[in-house]
Amino acid sequence: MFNNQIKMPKKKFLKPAFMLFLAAGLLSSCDKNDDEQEPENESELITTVMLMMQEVGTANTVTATFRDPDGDGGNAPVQFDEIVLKPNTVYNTTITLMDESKTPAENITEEIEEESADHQFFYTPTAGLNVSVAYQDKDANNLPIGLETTVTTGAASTGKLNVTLKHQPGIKNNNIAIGETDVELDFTTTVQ
Amino acid sequence: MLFCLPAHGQENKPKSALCGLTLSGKITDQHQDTPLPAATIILEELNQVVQTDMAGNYHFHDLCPGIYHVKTTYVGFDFIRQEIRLTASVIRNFKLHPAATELGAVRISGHRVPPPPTQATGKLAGQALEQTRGESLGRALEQISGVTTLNTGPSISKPVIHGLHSNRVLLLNNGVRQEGQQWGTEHAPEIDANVASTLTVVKGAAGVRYGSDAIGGVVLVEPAPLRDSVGTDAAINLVGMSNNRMGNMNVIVNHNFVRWPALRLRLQGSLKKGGNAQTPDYYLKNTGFTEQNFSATLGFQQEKYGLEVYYSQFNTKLGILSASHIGNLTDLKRAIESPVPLDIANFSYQINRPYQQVSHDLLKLSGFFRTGDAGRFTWVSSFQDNNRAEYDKHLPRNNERAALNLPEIDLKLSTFYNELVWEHRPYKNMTGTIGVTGMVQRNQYSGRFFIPNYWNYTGGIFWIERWRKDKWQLEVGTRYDYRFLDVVFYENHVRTEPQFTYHNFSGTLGSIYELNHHVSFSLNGGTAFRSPNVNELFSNGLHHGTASIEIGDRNLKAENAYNVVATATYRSVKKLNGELSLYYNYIQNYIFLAPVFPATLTVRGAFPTFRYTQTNATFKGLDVSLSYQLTEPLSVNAKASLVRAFNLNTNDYLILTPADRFDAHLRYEPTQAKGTFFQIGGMLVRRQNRVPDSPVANPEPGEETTVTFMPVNGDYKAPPPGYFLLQASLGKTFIAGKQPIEISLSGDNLLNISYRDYLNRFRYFADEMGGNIVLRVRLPLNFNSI
Repeated sequence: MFNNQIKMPKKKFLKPAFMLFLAAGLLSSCDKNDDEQEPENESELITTVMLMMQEVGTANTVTATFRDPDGDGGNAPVQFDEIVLKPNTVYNTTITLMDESKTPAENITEEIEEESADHQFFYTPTAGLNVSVAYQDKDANNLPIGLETTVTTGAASTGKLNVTLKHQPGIKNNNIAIGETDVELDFTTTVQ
Repeated sequence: MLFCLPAHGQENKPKSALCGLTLSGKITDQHQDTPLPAATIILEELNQVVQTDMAGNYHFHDLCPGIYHVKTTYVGFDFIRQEIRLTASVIRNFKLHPAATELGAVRISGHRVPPPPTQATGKLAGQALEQTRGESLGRALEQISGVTTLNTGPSISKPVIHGLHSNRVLLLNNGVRQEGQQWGTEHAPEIDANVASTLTVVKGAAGVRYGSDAIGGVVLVEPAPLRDSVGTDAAINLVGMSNNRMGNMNVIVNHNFVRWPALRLRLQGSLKKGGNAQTPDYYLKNTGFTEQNFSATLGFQQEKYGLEVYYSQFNTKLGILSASHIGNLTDLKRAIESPVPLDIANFSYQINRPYQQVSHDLLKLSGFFRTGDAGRFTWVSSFQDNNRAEYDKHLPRNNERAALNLPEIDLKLSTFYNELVWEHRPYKNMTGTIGVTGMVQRNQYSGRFFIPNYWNYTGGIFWIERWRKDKWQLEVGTRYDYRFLDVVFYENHVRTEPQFTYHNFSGTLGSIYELNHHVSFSLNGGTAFRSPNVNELFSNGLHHGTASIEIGDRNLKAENAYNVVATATYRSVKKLNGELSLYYNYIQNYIFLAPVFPATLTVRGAFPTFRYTQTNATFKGLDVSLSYQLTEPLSVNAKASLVRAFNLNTNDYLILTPADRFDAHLRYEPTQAKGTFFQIGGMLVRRQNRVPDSPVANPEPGEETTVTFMPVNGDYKAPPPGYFLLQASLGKTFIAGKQPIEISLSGDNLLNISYRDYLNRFRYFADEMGGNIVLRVRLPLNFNSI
């Protein structure tokens, strides 16, 4: 009964659909990927943390570096040195932060120096590690910064030295528990 | 009056062998679910009129196959006019809405009842839906058995169907496939639940009709049909919640022009604002949210064709629990070990960093054309524009965007989607649908890299035929999908443009057998396919919203699901109603986000790490619902949902599977007082003990220094204990003059217990919401009767 009538008007109504799909095709072809520029991401990364420890009274220098050139995630850090120190020795220590994801690499230490009233480094040896760290610098509010320190070792021991940088805008009060963590690294440390 | 008028129209038609069909059914009150005796049913084409008997049943006999229009009227109720395609004897039940209190029932002519799916389905409409007003879409859907939610705090929830979620659950918002940014568990669907007059969940693979990806199921968010009689009506919904001091207002206005009765208009708008949610012991800091939504529909409808324009906008700002925004693994450990969140506050509506700002625009153009010879063509074109901005708590150092207070991540997803469907005229006992779909999608981001820019092109073609005879219905369908994904991104300043092509056939085979008026069985077997999403392929980096590193895998293959659902339904007039459905879903190459151990080392410490992992998995389970009338006003309702998810490759359970849940209510609803009810009951959720034994290994953890975490059950924290929540609600319809006012009061977690749910991402950090009292007021306005 309906057999011969079914197919007749089909073509007529498929036309607008073809037009639409055509439109979809045009829409996509005129606006291709060529205009996709590299998204600018000016975010600053801390990729590298370097501790330079100069043995007082000698020319001996110990350096320990953490390096993760592509930042968080992605490839694993490429370098994470162990700190090896002599017993019963004093080291004048400086810390350097770099952004090596950029070319040329950017030195972030200077910025921390400029914004020293909002930043503080904390150096915490784990129990059993005979190392103590004393601040050698102060910000405008007479609070420690930690870019320059003296590291004093005791008897031979092993453990971890935790290095933490806190960003504490307006709230800095020599407290590790507040603010944003910019750096938190556990350097394996041996005094021998 | 209780007799059938003689069928005059019948005599003019040539008698064919097929003319012996029966159309029968039952007319009930939508709100009370009580039968309506002596309601009038008109079969327009044949000019036949019958009335229902005392049990609300009606019958038309000796009908020939064809398309008929049936109009059902009853004094004090809005009439319904529906098109029915008769190919075999069918049962069609109609639910009428009381005229003074219901607006949603005004139906456009030509509004059709789609054939019942052979999959298991669940529906939320009428009073049951009204009782979820003010809740998010996900939370509202939890009322349906087999549906749970995956949550991130108290304000972000995503529906989980039979243990499957996110991109495996397709959302159809007013007939348009929702293309939002489903990149993670904390990305909730961008849909205003206030738009819906019916929420339908199709459980199980439904990819053939609704498109690829529908492995878990489909959620249909459907507004009421536009008003088809001249005049204006409106409804105002007000909701207030005690826990987070949330207020929600929704207004809908429907209009049908006197001069152009074919032209129908609807305007809808809603506002929502909530503050910090409260557990029994503390406030959840920064969990406030706001929402502003509106939609407008203009329809033009004639007998043979119709056009519709729909525009909607969804805007939300969602605070993220500040305690969840952890720095690194040391912070996570501290947060997990602390019995209360480390960062708590008092009540506030203030939304601070971290937060999300999301908007979704939808423009839909659709139309249909019906010819008596060929059947019916339906066309839908839609444009969607989704913007997601995420503001982190942790501001990047010296960043230009941060200095301008721009979001750290800004994603923009634009989608153009087309669908053309032809429903052919019934031929013998066959009805069928053939359709083509096409989509072009573009994603652009600015800020921190999370997912790359891409173009996505998809095309699909499907054909479904249904054969009906007597008590049998059989459905066969097939579909072909093609997807081309063109990705552009920069790796170490080098532009790469990886391209992916996926294509697949899927199919469905289903049947329904109606044993008698009370018992029916359905069985559906289907396959569905889902190609990996861009976030599953490419995400790489810190996801601040959940304080974790998420790593995609470019080599992921498409998922293929093989799904079987069997359902038995029993409906008796009053006493007993029940449904049991059993399902089995085998998913080849199932993609899931697994926590991997050890965590990833960064300059800021180690971060919890999740990788997109692929395995073969099975999901099996059952949903049961039962209602039994004890005495005239008193009834019991109960439902249960069980899911078992298994990772076949590791011979272990799958992570993040919903725990067993049971729900039971005692309901008192006197028949003489319309709109009055009292209900008390509760929900029991068991502890999820079926969790993986061993964690997934992280191939690239970096030089691990300290083992901060020992994984528990392949996760950072063992599943929380089970819990029981006491719920009660009561409602009454008051009449002020001629104006009805529907008021209800309900309480959730009435014992104010402290609990955590396994499917809440924030279970690491904080308890769930405590006791909550919700007041709902609904004012239906009919400007013709006032």
